[in-house]
Amino acid sequence: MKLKVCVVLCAFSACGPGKGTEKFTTWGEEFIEQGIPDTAFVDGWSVHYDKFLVVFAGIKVADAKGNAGAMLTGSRLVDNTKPGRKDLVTFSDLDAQAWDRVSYQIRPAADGAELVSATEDDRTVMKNGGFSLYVAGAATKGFVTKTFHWGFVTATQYNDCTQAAESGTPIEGVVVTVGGTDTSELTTHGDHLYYDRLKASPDPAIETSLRFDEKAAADSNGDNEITLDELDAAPIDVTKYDPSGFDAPTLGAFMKSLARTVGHFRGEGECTISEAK
Amino acid sequence: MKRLLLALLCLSCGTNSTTGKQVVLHTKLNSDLNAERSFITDYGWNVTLTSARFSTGPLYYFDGEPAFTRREPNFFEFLKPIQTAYAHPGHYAPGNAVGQVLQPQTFDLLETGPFTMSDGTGITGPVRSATFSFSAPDGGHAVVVGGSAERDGGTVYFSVTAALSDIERTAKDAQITGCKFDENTIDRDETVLVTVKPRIWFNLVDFTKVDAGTPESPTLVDPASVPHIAFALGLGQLSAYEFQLQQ
Repeated sequence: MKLKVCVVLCAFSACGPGKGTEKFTTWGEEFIEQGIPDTAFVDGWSVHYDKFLVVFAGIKVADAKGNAGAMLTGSRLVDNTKPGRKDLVTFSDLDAQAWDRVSYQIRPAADGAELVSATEDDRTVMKNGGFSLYVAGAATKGFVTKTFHWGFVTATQYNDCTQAAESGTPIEGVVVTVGGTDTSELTTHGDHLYYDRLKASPDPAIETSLRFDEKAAADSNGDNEITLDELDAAPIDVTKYDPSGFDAPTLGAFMKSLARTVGHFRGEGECTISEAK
Repeated sequence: MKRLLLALLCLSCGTNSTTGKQVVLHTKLNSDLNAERSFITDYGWNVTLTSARFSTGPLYYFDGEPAFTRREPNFFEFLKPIQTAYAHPGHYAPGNAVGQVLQPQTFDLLETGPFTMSDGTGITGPVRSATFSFSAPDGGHAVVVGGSAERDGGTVYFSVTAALSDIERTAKDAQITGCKFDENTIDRDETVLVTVKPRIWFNLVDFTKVDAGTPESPTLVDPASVPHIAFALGLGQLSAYEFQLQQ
């Protein structure tokens, strides 16, 4: 793999010194911009987001030995319900080479974050709540609509981001070419919050599904607003939800674990995740 | 994955690795049960155990960080000529294997531990995570636990068993991967202490729909029932198993 990358790099750079640019953007894809259709859920619900606020920080490119080429200082607050790709940061004057280690964080910004496609009110919500991720919207099934406003305080480190194997081969990190601009999208996936497993079943016949019936039933006071407190009080239905080895005895704990998995790399690409320090 | 397989191959061959000096890893197993063998679950059941027998399978130690929310590649992904390292919805990167204990053994946690396990092999270097696994000697049960559960003035006397196939519904090959190994560095022959936490096994179990039974005739939890599914999920919980180097 590394050899292939080197060969490709040399082809672009003529194996000489040079500089290039790496640009980072973010996008929420159709599920966050337009909604998750009822066909995506196994129980007939659909979800529409009014807010999908994410605080990005610590975006970093480094070589295979961990030597940093560039790193974002500060943080960026994005509302990914706003259409299109938004610029997060551009690292120019990077050495043209393979940067194997790309990492970033989704974490609370104690001192507020720079606004990218969010409002001052959004920043206040995030800062006051200590949130890294805040989603608000509505879920609908038939004539029933349940609203939600969920703020997550998780601080997640996304390391060793790898491009999906769309071309048949996963590529670790990015490749910066001489005079070129490579763009990496830190994609957020809005459907992950509704998964019924925290890892795939060893049995390939058992698929991971999107479910909302149980979240709707957790609305214990019947006001059609589902709160995280209500989800925290709702035990998971073990016939439908598999915590997959993690401590997630309630729907609230389950969704907080899933909140760490919304961050991706260049579409379907993945990163290893851990607690951000 | 290739690095992992190579490291395991190296360990099982008994040769020195280029990444570390070979060492012996003495291994002990204990539980966090108190003297009364009782604990209170997240659902408020006060459980007292009267038996807790289980059989371990291989244990593996790695230098990668413990699992966060993760998913391992499924069977069809393994068939691909070039594997993706990880996929939705989460990830665990075990890194390099640094130790292992291969011999299966059977324990009763109600006896006084810690219990001495077979020696394992390892290599010097950092250790951060581990795989715990179950086995089923002679094709029988992997786990047999009995006791009582009290809540709201009611008591349920129960017995529950688990076969490997029960655990494998949530953990491939009944291996619980990505368990926490207190971060440390193996720099000589060491002793690994494995702590098993039975409370975690029962954390998702609601005994409400289990017949009360009696101390003399406890109710065998139906393998097709919701409480049994919950127990099997509990056996697969990473936090039920912790590893550390004994100082």
